[in-house]
Parts: sequence; structure tokens; C-alpha cells
Amino acid sequence: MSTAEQTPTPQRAQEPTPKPGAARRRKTISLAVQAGVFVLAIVLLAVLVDWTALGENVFNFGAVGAMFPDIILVGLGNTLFYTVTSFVLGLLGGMVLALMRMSAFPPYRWIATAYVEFFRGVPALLVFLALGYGVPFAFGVSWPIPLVVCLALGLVASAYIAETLRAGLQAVPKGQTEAARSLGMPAWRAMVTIVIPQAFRIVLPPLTNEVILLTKDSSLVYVLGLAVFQYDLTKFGRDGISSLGAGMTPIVVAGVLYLVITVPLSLLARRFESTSARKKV
Amino acid sequence: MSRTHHRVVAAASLCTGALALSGCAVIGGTSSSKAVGSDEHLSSSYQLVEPGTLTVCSDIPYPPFEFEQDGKITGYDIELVHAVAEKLELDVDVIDSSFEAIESGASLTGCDLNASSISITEARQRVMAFTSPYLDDDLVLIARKDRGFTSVEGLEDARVGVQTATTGAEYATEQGLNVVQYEDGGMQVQALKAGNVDATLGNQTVLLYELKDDDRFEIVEELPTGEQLGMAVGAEKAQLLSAVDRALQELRTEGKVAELQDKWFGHVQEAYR
Repeated sequence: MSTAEQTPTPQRAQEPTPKPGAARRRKTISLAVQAGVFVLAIVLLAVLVDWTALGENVFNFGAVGAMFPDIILVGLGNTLFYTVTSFVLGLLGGMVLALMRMSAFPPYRWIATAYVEFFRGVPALLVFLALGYGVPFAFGVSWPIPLVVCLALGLVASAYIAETLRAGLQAVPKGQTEAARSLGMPAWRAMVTIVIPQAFRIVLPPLTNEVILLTKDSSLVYVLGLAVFQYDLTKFGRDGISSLGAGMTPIVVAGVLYLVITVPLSLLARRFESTSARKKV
Repeated sequence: MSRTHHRVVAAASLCTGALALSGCAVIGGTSSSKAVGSDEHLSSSYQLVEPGTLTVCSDIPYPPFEFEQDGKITGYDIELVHAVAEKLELDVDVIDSSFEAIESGASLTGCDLNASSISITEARQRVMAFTSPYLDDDLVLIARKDRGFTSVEGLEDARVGVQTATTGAEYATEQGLNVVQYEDGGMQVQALKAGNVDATLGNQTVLLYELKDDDRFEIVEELPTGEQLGMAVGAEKAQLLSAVDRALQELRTEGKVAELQDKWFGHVQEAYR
């Protein structure tokens, strides 16, 4: 506060503001109000929350020991497996779709647009149901669960990834292709060796987002019906609610384990962002 | 799966909030006049909410027990109630109530009879009087006919669908079966139909109704749980209870209960044949 009372520097005095200290004082008041609201919110939270009930039903970590190590070895493992396989499929599918959307042959563009619009607009849950129950009804074959998950999430992911990649491909300056062509490279080679690598560098941060979304969407696997060795994190959490008598705590544990996957990914994405920003300079 | 949420409600609360209802037996019951005429006498000894009518509380919809079909409330419970009322020469008025109110006995202030696929439990017996059971809620193992299973023992290599957090899931896990868990009964049935599992295990009341018209499947084994469904009346209405009970017994010996079981579940339980 005392700093606000100090005489302004000569530089500031030359500015046309009538009261040189006013702006700074307003800033201080605003800051004090923000801090006040923050403290009030915390105090209210501390007073209003029933900490005993919360401790018993939400943060009762003493009672969830039975979830370990299976929730890590099986649950975390399966969630990672479902995420990685579907991301690989989504990336391949997305690449093909992105190129189709930029194709000179119109039917390819139409098909790719229709695909993207369809799978972006339909809830992933419905895709799971269609592949898990519709396919067996239609063809009389029931695929193993990991394949269904990979396909269902992969189909949805490729729609999103296609749009991301297209933006990336279009962001690579035309001069790059032109230079490559003028050196005698055929169009496909210019695309594969010059444009696509640069596009990927541009879209790495949004792609990381997609992996995070997939990690969470893999929880939809529950609609397929799971054998014990196929349980994902969410299934472990939900089962724990009915079997451990620790209220919602098992779900909290599952949530924390999702963060164990997603937070490092976010950090990685931020690093990619800063590296690609530096490279552009 | 029948509704087995246990809730103990003190008998004293039976009449709370229903003082205005003329039929509230605890308060108004003793004051009801004792008519001398034969029919009237019967009716008044039942202490009915609405004279001449059996007012039935049911939580609708819960197929195949009570639900709307072609604009009419029907189902196993409802048809059985109609048959009982016919024996007692009463009309039927079905009131849609919540299962909370029904299982706590609170509904019996406005209704004469609870008929809503209620499992007979000790806690519930404290707040209402149950008739003899009219359906056993046993577990049943259903499989595709061409798989040739004969009992739970032959299932070592089979995938068996169950519903998460039910007695069926518990039993299957205890038996060391190759369990596939589903979040609801609908999915469990669809998975069997789609061939995602080889067999499915769960409460008869859910599975048999869903699968009764599909002749690709058969009942491999019935596994008694001791869980039974009954109708209930207010604890103080002894006359009504014995009249309904007598009617149910008659319907049972006449084969009417078996007929209704066959109609709604495609299967008649041993005890009711």
C-alpha cells in the first residue's frame, strides 16, 4: 500500500493522466478484492463442507487398499492399452481422411467430409454399442473386446484427428511444396517427405489433446461387458463402490490414476509447443 | 432382479401424512361401522379405503410385473390382483406409487394392497403383512440350446454374462465361472442374443421375461435363492389379509397362478405347478 503513496517517477508524470497514483491504487484495490473473495470462498468451503462425511465417503483411502495392485496392473494397464491402440488407428485413419479431404478428386472429399461429420457428431458410446452388439447381430461374429475398443475409439478419433491434420497440412507454406516440385520431386514425395513432417510438428500439441480425450473415452468400454482381466480404471472404481464400503473413494482413486496418465501428457504437449515455437523464430 | 432395497420404517410412521384419508386404518379403522348385511359386512370387515373397490398400490412401470400396454396397466402382478379381486367380488383401482412408499409401508395409508414385485424380507414384514408368496425370485442360468449345457458345472470354458452387483454376479464369481459383467439387465440379455457370451445368469424375474419368446435359448438350471415375492396389506387388516391369502391359494390350486407365470415368463415354477 505504501508504494501507492510514493511520488510517481518523472516518466509517469509526463503522461496525460490527471492523478498519477490513481491507476496504481485502483489496481491494488482490485487485487485486494480478488484476494478477499478467494479467502472468503476458502473459509466458506471449510465451514460448509461436512469434513467427517467427506472423509468417510470420498477420501477414505484407508479402506481401498484391496484395490491395489490390481487397479494399477490391470486397470491402468488396460486403459493405457485401449488408449494407445485406438490412437494408432485414429492417427492412420485421420491421415488418410485428411489427405482425402484435400484430394483433387471430389468423391474422396465427399466421403471424407461425410465420415468426419458422422463420427464427430455421434456419441462415442453409440459407436461402442454398434460395434459391440450390432456387428455380432449382423454378421454372427463377436470380436474380442480389445479389438472392439480399438475400432470404436479409433473410428471416432480418426474423425477428429483428420480435421487437426488437415489444418496442419494447410498451414505448411505452399512454397515448401513448390520448392520440392521445382527440384524434381514428384507430388507424393513432396507430400510425404516435406509437407507431412512439417505438418506433424505443427499439430503435435492438439494431437496430445486427442490422446487425453481418448484416455478418458476408453472408460466407455463398460457398455461392452467386461471379464475381470479386461477391467479398465473406471470399472475398477465403480466396482469398488459396491464392494469396499468406502463410499465414492474408489472412484477418486480411479480419477487420480487417470491424472497419472493425462498430466504428464499435458506437460509433454506444453514442451512440444515451446519447442515448435522456438524453431519458428 | 427384484427390488431388494431394505428400508426399515417404524410402524408408527404408517399413517403419517395420511390423516385426511378416510381409510387410514390405524386411526379410522375401529370407528368403521359394522353393517349387518352379508355383502356389506364382508366389505367393511376388510376396512377398504374405497368400499367395494380393492385399491392397489404399484410402482409402474416395472415390466413384466406392472406396466402400461396399449393404454392399459397390465402385467403379472396386475392380472393376479384382478383375479384376486374377482374372487372377493371387488373392483380394482390401481394407483401408481413410488417403490420407496410401497416398501416402507407408507403407501398402505391410501391403498388396501401393495402389489409391486416386492421381495418378502424381515424388515418389510415389520411394517406390513405379507400374503403367501406368488413367485419365487430364483436365479436362472440360460444358454443357447445348441451349446448343450446341462448345469453350472459344465461351464468352465464358457463366458457367462451377469449383471454387476447382483446376487447372480456374486454366485457366478463364487463358482469360479468365467464372468462377464454388464451394467444393466438389458445389456446382459442383448449380449446373450448377440452371442457375446455363451450363457447368462441372473434373477428369473428379469431374464425369463426378456427371453421367453426366443426359442434359441433354454433354461439350463434353476438355482433357488429363497427369495420370494408377496403382496402386502396393512399390518392391522387381518380380515383382508386372510381373504386375499385365501383367494391366492385358490388361484394357485386352480392353476391360475401357473397360467399367469407361463404367460409372462414363459415358464412355470415347480412350486406353483
